[in-house]
Amino acid sequence: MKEEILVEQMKNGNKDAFDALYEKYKNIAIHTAYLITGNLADSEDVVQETFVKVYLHSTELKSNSGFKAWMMQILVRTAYRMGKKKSREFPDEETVNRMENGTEISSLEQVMQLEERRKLNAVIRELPIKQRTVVILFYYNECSVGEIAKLLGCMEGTVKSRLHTARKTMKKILEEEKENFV
Amino acid sequence: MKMAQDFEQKIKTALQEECGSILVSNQMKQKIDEEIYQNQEEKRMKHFSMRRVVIGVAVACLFLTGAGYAVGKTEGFKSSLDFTKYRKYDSFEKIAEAEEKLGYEVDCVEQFSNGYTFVGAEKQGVDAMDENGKTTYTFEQLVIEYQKADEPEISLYIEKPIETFEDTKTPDAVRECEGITVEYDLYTYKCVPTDYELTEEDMANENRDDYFISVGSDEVEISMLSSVTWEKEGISYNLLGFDLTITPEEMLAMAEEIILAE
Repeated sequence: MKEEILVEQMKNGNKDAFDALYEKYKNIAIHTAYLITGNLADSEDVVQETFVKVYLHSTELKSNSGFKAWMMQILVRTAYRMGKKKSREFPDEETVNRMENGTEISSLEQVMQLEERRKLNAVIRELPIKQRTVVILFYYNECSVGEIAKLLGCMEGTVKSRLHTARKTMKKILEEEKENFV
Repeated sequence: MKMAQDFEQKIKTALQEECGSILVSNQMKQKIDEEIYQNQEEKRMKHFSMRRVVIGVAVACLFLTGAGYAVGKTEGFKSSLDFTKYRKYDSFEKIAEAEEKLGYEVDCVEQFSNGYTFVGAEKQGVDAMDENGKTTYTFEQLVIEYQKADEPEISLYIEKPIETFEDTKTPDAVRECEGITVEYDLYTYKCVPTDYELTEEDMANENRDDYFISVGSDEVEISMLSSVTWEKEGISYNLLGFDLTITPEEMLAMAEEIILAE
C-alpha cells in the first residue's frame, strides 16, 4: 500500500498501518540510531522512543508525504540527545567480533582495506556528535545537505561546515595511519 | 577527483559495515506497543479524572457550585486535608476566628432542628487545576462538620467563588428562601483504584451530569451524594453528605435554617 495512505490511516488510529510503517523503517532506524549513539542498548531505546512518538504524535504531521523525514527528525534528535547525555562505549566488543568473524580475508589488500575501514569507523566514532551526526546522515542515510539542515534544525552552511571539518579530520588521521603503517 | 570519490565511498562502506548486521530485537515492537498502550491509558484516565472529578481525600471530594462545568479553564479541584484528623475550630465559638482569617462572615448554625449538631470546622486551601493537572489558582474554603448519632456526617463548604460555573445539571429540587434560590442535587459517586479500567457503562455514565468517577480508592465504591447549594452576598454555600438517610426536603430545610441564622 502507498505510504501516504498508511500514514493517513495511522493518523486515524489504525494500528495495522502503524505496524506496516514500523516494519518498513525499523532497520534504517536502528542502524542510524546505533551509528549516532554508539551502542546497541541506547539505539534500541532511541528506536522505541521514536516509534512511540511517531504513533502518539502522528496527527501533528502536516504532510503525509513527509513521513520519512519527520520520523527521521524525531529519531535523530532523540539519538542526538541520548548520544550527548551518555558516554560512548566504543570500541564495542560486539562490533569488533562481528567484523572479524563476518569477513572473509583472502589477501593482503583485503586485510588492509578491512583495517582501513575499521580505522575509519573508529575515527567517525570519535568525531564530536554534531559532526558525527552530519556524517552519518550524509553518507549512510544519503540525505542531502538541505535535508540534514531541516532534520537538525540548522542552516545549510552549518551542515557544510561540519561535513568539511569531519572530512578533514578523517583524512588527516587516515593519512597519518598510512604513514605509520608504511 | 577520483581519490575524493574513493574516500567518500570508503566512508559509506565503513558505515554500512559498522551497522549492517545489527537487527531490531524481537521484543522491540512489543515494547513499543506496550508503551503506546500505557500512554493512551494514562491520558484517558487523566482526562476522565480531571474532567469530572476530584482527586481528594476523605469526604472533601467536591465543591463545585451548582456542580457544573467551569466557564474558565478549571477542570477540577484538589485539596488534601483529612477532616477526620484535623479540626482546628473544635467549638462553635471558634468559627469567629475562622471568619477573621477568611476575611468575611459566614452563615452557619450550631444545631439543626433535625438533630444534626456542629462537631468541628477547618479552613483549607484548595487548588483549582487545568486540564493538565496544573494548579491555576488556590483559594480558601471553610468546612464545617455536623453529626447526628449514627447517621452519616453532613458537611457545609463555604467559600468566596473566584470564577463562575455554568450549570449543566437541572436541580432535583428547588426552594426559594429570603429571595435566595436553593438547589438540591443528587449525584452518584464512583470511586475507583488508580489501575481501574473504565467499562463501557462508565464511559456512558461519564456524559451524565449527575455521575462522577473519582480515582484513588482501594476498591470500587459507589456512593450517593446529596448536595444543596446556594449563594448569599457573594459567598457560596454547599451542604453535602454521602449516603444520607434524610429526604431532599429535609436537606433544603437545613439550608433554610442556615440562611435565616442570625
